[in-house]
Amino acid sequence: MKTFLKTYARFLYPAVILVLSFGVYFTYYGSPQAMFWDENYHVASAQKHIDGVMYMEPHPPLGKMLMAVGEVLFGGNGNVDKSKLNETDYLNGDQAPPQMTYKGFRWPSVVMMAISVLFFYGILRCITQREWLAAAFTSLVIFDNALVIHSRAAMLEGIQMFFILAALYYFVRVATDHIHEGKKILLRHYAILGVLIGLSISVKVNGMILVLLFVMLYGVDQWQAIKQWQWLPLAQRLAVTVPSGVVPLLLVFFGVFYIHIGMGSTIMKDRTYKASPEYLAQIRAGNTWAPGTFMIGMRDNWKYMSEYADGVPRLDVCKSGENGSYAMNWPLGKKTISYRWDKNTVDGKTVVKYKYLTGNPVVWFSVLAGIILSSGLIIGRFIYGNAIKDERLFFWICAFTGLYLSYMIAILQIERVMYLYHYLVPLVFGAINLALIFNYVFRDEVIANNRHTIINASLFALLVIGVFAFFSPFTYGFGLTEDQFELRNWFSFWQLQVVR
Amino acid sequence: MNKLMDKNWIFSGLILAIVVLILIRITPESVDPVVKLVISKNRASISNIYQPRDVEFTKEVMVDRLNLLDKSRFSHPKLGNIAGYSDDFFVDVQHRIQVLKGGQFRFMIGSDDGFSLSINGKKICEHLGDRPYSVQPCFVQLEPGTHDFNLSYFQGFGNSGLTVQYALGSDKPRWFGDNSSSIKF
Repeated sequence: MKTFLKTYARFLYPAVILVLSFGVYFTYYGSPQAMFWDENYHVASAQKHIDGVMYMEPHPPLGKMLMAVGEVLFGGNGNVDKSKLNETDYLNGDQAPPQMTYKGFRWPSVVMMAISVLFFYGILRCITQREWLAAAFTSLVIFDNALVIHSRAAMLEGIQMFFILAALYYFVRVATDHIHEGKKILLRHYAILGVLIGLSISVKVNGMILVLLFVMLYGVDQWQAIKQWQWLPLAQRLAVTVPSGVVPLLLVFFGVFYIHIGMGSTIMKDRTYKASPEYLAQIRAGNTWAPGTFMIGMRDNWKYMSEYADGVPRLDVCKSGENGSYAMNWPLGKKTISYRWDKNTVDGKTVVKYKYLTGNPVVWFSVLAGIILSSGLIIGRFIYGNAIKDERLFFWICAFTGLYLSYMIAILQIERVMYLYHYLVPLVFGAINLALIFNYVFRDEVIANNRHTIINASLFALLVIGVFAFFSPFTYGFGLTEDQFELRNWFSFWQLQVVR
Repeated sequence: MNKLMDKNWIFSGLILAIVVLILIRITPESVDPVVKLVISKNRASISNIYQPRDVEFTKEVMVDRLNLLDKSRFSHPKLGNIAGYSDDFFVDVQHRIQVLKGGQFRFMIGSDDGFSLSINGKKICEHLGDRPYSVQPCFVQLEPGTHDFNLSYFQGFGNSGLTVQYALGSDKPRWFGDNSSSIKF
C-alpha cells in the first residue's frame, strides 16, 4: 500500500484535490434559483452575447462571453423567454422569468474555479517539491468560504482566478524548470505567459498585476547577467522579451474585444451606450466584423469604461447599508457583505438562510500572519543583513510577498468604492506565500519528510476544513437561527448583521 | 525542555491553542436555571399588556436572573435572544420567592415595551402600552415567608428588553434571581 501510494502520489494527490474541489464548488451550485449581487448585471450582459445585442460594460467582456457559452451549453432555459434580459443592464429579480435557472451562467465560474485549485497545487508542488505540503496548503483555496460563495455564482472573479492561477503556474513551472533542470527560458515562454495574462485582463483589468510576472521571469532568465551587471546583453534580451510577452497580451485583449464588437450586431431599442454615430451606423449596416468598425467600437467601449469608472461613487462609511470597505481592513475580513437572505418561521422559530460573503478566518488570518512573517524575513535580509538559509525559497517568498503588497498598494490608489471580494486575488498570493513561509521555517524537516511536520501540515488543513464547515451555512445558504448566527459572529469588525 | 523548544511542537501547540479558542467561542453558553420564563408568540401585533392573546407558539426558558436587555434587544447577555422572536410576544414569570427579612421592598422594573406586576395577586404597578426602555420603581411591603411574584411583559415592535432588580429599603439593588440576605429564589 505504501509503495502504491509513493508510486502514484503524483497522480493521487491531484485526483483527490480535484474531487474535493468539485465537491465543494460544484454541489448544488444552481441554488438559489435567484440572482444575487453582480449576477443581476452579468446575466443580462451574457444573454446579450447569445442574442447578438450590442452592449458596453465597465469590465472587459471575456467573463460574460464565457457565461454565455455556459448558458448555451448547460443553461436548460430553452423554453424560457429571455428577451427582457436584452432590454436592461441590471436585471431585477421581478423582471427575470420565474422559471429561469442560473446554472448555465454560473457554470464557467464554478468549473473554472474548481479546476484552478490544481494550478495552485502545481505551483506549490513545483516550488516545494513536496506533494504532501502542496496538498495540505491547497486546502486554503478549496475551503475558503469567501472564494467558494463568490465563485459559485455568475460573477467574474472565479473565471479570472482560473487565468491568474494558470499564469502563475506557468511562470513557476518555467522558472523552476530553468532553476532545477537548467532548461532555457525561450521567447515562446514569454509569449504564452502573455496570452494567459491577457486572458486574465480580458475578464477584469485588475489582472494587470500579473504584468509583474514578466519582470520576474526576466529576472530568473537573466539572473547571472544581472548579478554581473552586464548591461548590454541585458538590454538586448529586454528588447526581444518585452515584445514577445506584451504583443500576445495585447493581441488576446484586443482579440476578445474584436469578438465582442463583432457579435454586437443588434441595437436594442434606444440602448446605444453613448456610442458614436459612426459606430451605430456600422452596426446598422451589418459591418460589425469589419476592422474599421473594431477601431471605432474599441474607442467607444474604452470611453464608456473610463466614464463609468469615473462615475462610481467613493466609499461612504456613513451611508446606511454601505457594502464597500477600506482595502486596509480586508486582510481581517472587514467588511462582510450580505448577498441575500430568505427568512422563514418554522415551528415558531425564525430561521434565515443567508448568503454572506465572509472569509474562513483561519485562512485569512493565517495569510496575514504569513505576510507579516515574510515581510519580517525580507526586511531582516535587506535592511539588517541577516543570513538566509535557502536562497531560492527566499526569492520565491519575495516574489509572492511582492505580488501581494503590490496589489494592495495599487488598490489603495483607487478612489472609487471597493469591496471585500477585491481581496480574493491577493488572498491567493498570500496563501501561496504562507505555504512557502511554512516551508522556509521547517526547511530541514520538509526536506527530510519529518513525520511530525507532515502531521502538523495535515492538522492545519483539517483546521481549515473544520472552520470552513462551521461557516458553511453562510456560504451555501443553510438556515440559521439568531443564536446560531451569533455563534458565528466572531468579531464585531466583520459587521455581520443578523436578520430578525 | 528540548521538546518545548522544538519548532514542530511549538506549531502543534499553536494549532491546539487555536482549536481550544475556537471551541470556547462556539460552545453555547449556559446559566443556572433559577427563573422560568414562559414566552408566547402572538399572531397579532401587541400594543397593550392586557389585550386578548392570540398565541401561536409557547415555550419555556430557564434563566439565572431577569437581566434581559442587551444592545437594546430582549436578550440575555450570555444566552442571546432567548425568545427567538423580535416582535409581538409575551413573557410571563410566575415565581415563588422566600422573603427572609421583612420590610419595604423596591422592585425596579425596566421594560421596552409594557409590563404588569402583581405580588400575592395584588397589582403593584404596570405600564400598559409601548415605550422605549424605561425603569419604573414599584414599592411593596413584604413580611418574612413565601410570596407569589407574577410579572407579565410584552414586546410589540422595534427595540425590546426586560430587567427586574430588587432592594430592601435603602440596600443596593440586586438582580431578580440573585439570592441575598433578604430574598431567596
